Amino acid sequence: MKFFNKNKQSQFDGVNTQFNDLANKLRNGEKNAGNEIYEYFSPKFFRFFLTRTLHREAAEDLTQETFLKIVDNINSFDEKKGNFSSWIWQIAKNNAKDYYRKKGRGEISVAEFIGKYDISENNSLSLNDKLDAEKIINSVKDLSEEEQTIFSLHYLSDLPYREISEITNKPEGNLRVIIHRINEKIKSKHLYA
Amino acid sequence: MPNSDKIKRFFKPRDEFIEETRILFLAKLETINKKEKLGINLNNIFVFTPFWKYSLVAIFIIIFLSGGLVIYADSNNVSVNNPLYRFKKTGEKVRLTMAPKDRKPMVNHQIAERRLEEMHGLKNMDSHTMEALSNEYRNDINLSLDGMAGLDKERLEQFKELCAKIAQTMANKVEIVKAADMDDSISDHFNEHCAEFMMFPPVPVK
Repeated sequence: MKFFNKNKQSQFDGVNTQFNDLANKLRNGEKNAGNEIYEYFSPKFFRFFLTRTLHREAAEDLTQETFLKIVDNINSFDEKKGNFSSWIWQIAKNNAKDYYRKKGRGEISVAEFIGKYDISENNSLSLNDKLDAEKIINSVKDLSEEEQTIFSLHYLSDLPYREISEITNKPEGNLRVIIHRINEKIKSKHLYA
Repeated sequence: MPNSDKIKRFFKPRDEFIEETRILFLAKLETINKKEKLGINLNNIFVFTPFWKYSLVAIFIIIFLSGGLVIYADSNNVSVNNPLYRFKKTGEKVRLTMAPKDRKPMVNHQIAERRLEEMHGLKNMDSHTMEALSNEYRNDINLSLDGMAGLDKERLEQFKELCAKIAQTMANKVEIVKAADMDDSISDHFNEHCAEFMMFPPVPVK
């Protein structure tokens, strides 16, 4: 599976400009802009929070909270200081930090991870799915907070290095090293196709 | 490289959740939109330029000082010759407005007494001032008489006495202030309230 292509960086530059425009519209309370932002970020946020909490309900709560905070704080966004995507991710990151501070990381079961919501289309959970879920939990659980964040942004949100670098305040070279380390850790859990 | 499709499948949010949160998010956006519109209007009104800042400070100081003068003039019952006399009358109006319903007749009584007392002091004034003040007093007294309904028995006796004094004073003043003839409406108004209590003859009607 190809995660990254050559055009991705330039695509994201364009997307960021669009997001800044959308942010200005959001500030004026334009619903369409809100909808577009929501459409793009909601699955990414959810995956990010699920990686960090390994708990569906907590991830849902955090996603919801993040969107409400975006509305509350939209007037503090200044495009001169950075792009909207980085700003919005900072809110998500801070939310995850707060969650960790309050709850810490507990022991997570497969049931909690998958939740009562079936991931398969035919509403049944196969043995293979259960095994995969276990592998994911074990893989993600063993990552550090920083690695979880980068894993989520890189593999689940498909963000380019530059974007992840802005969100995490880490140089791109450093990120490549961390991602390589994550790959090594995950390799040991047999999470490969 | 990990099989991201497999992982993403597990990390997919519920459709119901996505829809519920979308509704919440857009509803919240709507409320901020309303606040924003209000905020724009308020900002237009309260543009905190240095001019407005100093003006606001000046206004607060003026209000504070005026309030102090009103309280001082009213509580010390300053005389008509005192420059703070207008502040006293403002204080009386404020007290009358703020007084609870059952206290209003008492306040009116006090105001009428004060005007009566001031009327006695008119003698030493020039005829123009006397005329103006005399008319003003009569108006004030009539307004106070209107507000004195519902007095208790003891107060009612005091009121009768006051009416009598007013009648006598007003009659005298009418004679003194020849130019200031009392018009019919004022004297009728006075008679309506006071006639039955008067020990002195009613105010002569033109």
